[in-house]
Amino acid sequence: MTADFHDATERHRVDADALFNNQRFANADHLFGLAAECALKAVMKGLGMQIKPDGSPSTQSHRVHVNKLWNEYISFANNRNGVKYVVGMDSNNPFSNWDVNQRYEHHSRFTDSCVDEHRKATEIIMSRWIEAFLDGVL
Amino acid sequence: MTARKPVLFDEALKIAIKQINDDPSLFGKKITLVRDLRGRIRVLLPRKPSKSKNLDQFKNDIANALGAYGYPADQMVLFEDDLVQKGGKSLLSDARLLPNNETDLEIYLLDRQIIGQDWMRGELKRKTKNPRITFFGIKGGVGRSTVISIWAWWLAKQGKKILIFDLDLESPGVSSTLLPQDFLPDFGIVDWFVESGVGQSKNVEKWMIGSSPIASGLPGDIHVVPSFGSKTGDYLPKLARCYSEVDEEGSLSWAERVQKMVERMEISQKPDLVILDSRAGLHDIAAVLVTRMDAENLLFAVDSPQTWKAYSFLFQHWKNHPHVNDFRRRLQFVAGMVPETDRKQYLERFREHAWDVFRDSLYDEVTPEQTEYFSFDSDDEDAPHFPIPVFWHRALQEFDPVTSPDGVDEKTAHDALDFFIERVNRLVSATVGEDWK
Repeated sequence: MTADFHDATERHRVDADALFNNQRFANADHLFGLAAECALKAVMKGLGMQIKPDGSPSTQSHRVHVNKLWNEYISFANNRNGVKYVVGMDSNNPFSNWDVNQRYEHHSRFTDSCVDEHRKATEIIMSRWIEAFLDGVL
Repeated sequence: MTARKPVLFDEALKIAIKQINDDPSLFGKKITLVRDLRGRIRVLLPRKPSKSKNLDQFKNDIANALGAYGYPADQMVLFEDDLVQKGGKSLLSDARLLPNNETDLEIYLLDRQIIGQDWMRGELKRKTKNPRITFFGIKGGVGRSTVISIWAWWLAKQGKKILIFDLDLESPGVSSTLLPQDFLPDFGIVDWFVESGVGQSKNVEKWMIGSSPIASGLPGDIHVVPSFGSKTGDYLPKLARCYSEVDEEGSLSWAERVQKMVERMEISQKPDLVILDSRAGLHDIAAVLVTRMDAENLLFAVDSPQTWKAYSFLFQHWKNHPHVNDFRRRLQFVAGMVPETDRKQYLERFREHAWDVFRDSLYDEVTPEQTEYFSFDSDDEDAPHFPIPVFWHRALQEFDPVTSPDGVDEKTAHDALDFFIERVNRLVSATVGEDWK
């Protein structure tokens, strides 16, 4: 496998939106979380995150999903001259109730309001991601 | 085979424009060039064109022509539709129109810079009405702080309430001239920026205004918001955090943060006039204070080749400013420290050099049929290039009104600043629309 966080961000986000618009909240939620994770990792890579030959992060604390990566990202970007890429994000991680293993749960557990929170948080991350993209950081 | 000459930064934009103009039919009416933090250029099109074969050729050609300042051909072109869909719409509004004499195509530049963007942005809105004057010098050591102090003293004598901000954060000057240690408030501007970054500006706001003793006994007063206060402590770690673009409201540009601080102080103090002492040189502080604060700008200079070269860099950059028609009317040269001998000849030389700088970039080239234009003859006394003189005086060199038992010496003030006071009063009167004395 070769990780491509940039491309993965886009495809997860597009599919997440499509599912959300069709009220397929459970799978939309799963993909919002993955899109957010890939976008954060793409920016971290641009800011100098060490990666292995297969494209995955070298550091264990960076090889995590968005529920853990959110705070890791804020601290990483702040320490790497990337303060502009954390605007709108604080330590109240909106993905703290998201877990990759929720893909095994029953769909009725995913309410539209809970998924909408994750959608909005993904939008914030995408805005930072697009800034980094235009800056030539990605 | 000879090696290709590398493309350098300032050639890259011209090359990109030429490549676009070579076949404008490919792009419709409008195209944007995105220049990234390192200066590399990409092309942003409103949408995907129908003839993708021609576009593929264009991508290869421009990537090749731009060398190190381009991107690989497959990443060379972006589409607005895509960016908007991904939430980047607001970022596109920063693009500014570039001059294009070759074709009818409108070419915009979205310049993604780390710093320096405020030199090209418009004025910020404000709620307060008091006039503001920015004191700026392209180089330091031209007597700005001294002039501010004497002029403020003179205004306080006329009963005016003056509020001065020492925004020369890297080299605070006016704070020390006007506020002796015992008169320093607890906090200063650096404290405000740091505390507002974590939502606590109100904790320092009320304790960052000092009253200058040089106005004691006068009908007016001089209030100073210094760079630092008596409880500021370690200055450098705070200074390093001043320029962040985040505050209690979330994302806020540095310019908006300065505006917010100044406006809050204006609302609480209700001054007749605000003086903004800017950092010298081509720094972001100056960019904000000169072009974005709705202020009249006094540009201090001495007649030296280095000064004019530096001003010409700035004026050339402003030539393409989207709001140049508004703010060029608010610029005024001040000849600081005019020597005691050969004053007339010195000021004539100054005026000619100042005129050259204005004429080459900010004055309109007037054609016979033009009825409205912004251009002045060299000897027009009301022109922005026509210097307001501040005469050098031995007593000014040692000027320290706060420790001197007599405060400001009236004769020194008049000798040095009579012309300045008269012309700047006229300038403020024109701004507020009434005789301002």
